[in-house]
Amino acid sequence: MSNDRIYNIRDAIYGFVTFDEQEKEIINHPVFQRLRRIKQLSLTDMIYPGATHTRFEHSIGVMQMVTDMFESVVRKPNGLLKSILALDENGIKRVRKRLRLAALLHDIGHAPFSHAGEETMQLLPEDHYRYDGTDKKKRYDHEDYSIAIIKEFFSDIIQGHPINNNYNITVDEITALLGDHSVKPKMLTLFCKDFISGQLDADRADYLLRDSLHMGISYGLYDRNRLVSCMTIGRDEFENPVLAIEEGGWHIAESLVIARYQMFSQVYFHKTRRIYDFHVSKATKEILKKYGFENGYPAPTSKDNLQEYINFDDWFMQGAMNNSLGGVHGNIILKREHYRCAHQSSDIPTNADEAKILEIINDLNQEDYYIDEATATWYKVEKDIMICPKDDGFVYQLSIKSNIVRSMIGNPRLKRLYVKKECLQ
Amino acid sequence: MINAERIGVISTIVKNEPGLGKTAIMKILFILQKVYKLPMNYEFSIYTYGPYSAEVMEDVDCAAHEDIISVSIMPYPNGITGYAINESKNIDKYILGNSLVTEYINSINEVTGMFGKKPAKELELDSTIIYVYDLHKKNKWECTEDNIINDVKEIKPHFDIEHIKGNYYGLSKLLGMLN
Repeated sequence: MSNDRIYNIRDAIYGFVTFDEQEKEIINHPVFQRLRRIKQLSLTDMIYPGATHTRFEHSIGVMQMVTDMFESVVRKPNGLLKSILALDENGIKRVRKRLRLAALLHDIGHAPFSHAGEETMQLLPEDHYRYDGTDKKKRYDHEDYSIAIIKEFFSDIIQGHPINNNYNITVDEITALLGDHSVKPKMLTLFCKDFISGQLDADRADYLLRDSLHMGISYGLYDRNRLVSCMTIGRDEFENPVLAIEEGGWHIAESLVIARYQMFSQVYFHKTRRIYDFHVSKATKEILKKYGFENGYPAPTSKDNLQEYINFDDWFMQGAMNNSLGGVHGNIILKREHYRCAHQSSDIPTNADEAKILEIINDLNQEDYYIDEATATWYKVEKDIMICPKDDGFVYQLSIKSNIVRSMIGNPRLKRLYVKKECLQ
Repeated sequence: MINAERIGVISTIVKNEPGLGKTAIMKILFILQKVYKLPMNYEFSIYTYGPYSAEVMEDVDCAAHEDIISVSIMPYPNGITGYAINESKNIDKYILGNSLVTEYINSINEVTGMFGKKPAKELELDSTIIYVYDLHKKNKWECTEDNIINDVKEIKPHFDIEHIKGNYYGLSKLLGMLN
């Protein structure tokens, strides 16, 4: 079969996504097909019934988004890809391929119920890069699993597929874009990483649109074509290459930040959605115990462990709950008798909020309530988006340009007290 | 939730060296955690511009929101516009009696003294050298001077080797503390 063949797949955001024979082989791999059985937003469909889309379509979408973004950067006339990153035509093709593969595989290690399942991953061992001895509660995350799964199950396709004869890409060059600390960092890799996990990355650019579309809401919508067309490469004052937005398009960067803020405050931090994450985490722990995994999902440290890990998906967990293996919280999910929000603080909890929460829990047993706090992670501006001036001068921060973004920087720390339905007065 | 202990450390740095930019605060905190082992639990990743933690920015923003520090826009001498961080009215509340600050005050003072007045470009290079050295240690890669300098050059090709070497030697005491 010819390796030049191009395939198309329908997509809700892009119309069509195209991919080649090698990418098709990845998509067809059973470990990738598992993503069909991991919902993007866990049990958000309890609140927004349309939110049943999966990591499968998102992963394919991110591959398309990153391609569009990179093509836009390549088209820019400032020549920085050549002058700073020393990329010629072949180099550009190679980077495009690296980005596509990393985007396609970036979520391959997700646990059942997506982020809600990460609480059930094991604690980091002392030799893990992120373990620094000061916080013994740090756990593996889905990126650790993604990196390990790519190395274990996709190396042959990435390195050995005939299409790779054109690129000679190694599996390390893919995992490096996902934060693999066992690969030596290089400037080109670090620049490319911004396309996958930065303030302007293809991941969030896809999920904001996709989640909005499936849920039937508009909070996450922004002008995708404008965003993509304004993406460029700039340089900071120290000559580091930076992914940026052209100065003339700074409003689209602003609207992306606002879209994300709205999605977090209105959807991802929805009071009912958040309590289902809690129930999922507890039910998962219970199910894993029943299957002999007392400490959580098997750690991503061996092929056997990874084989066991990938047997778990949403369907498996749902089936276990149906068979009453999810304990109290599994039953709560099945019967939709989730804990109810008894008190919600203002964005910054006041003394009165704290007092009210204490007053309510004073009469309750510890297993009858749960206090949820919006960590800054839910709202964080993280890194500023960089704006590239028209005259190809040094980039500067969006927050300097945008009063709206600057005023969003203070972190809300919303606190909610949930209590068992029957304890609600 | 506000992390009073970490914000106390940031406050002490700002008190010691008013007017620092966000980059400088970031790199000083990186050195304090990585080399001096302050248990702040920031998660740093490497970017083209050196080690970075989104949590540091969150703490800085949070501290500004609580009127502990002030963050103002100002033009730098090189024509770039950036941020300058200064103390604000609630700063002492977060320093006095802060157990993390009390325990590590000598380290905080030492690092602020060593790096507080360095240009941001040098801080970026220094922190990248420390990051790369630590990465070698964690991965059990051969930690020779040549390896470290060459690997830093891969991240920051716009610095010449002699410049990287000079900063590497200047950091020898700190790198020794990572062993």
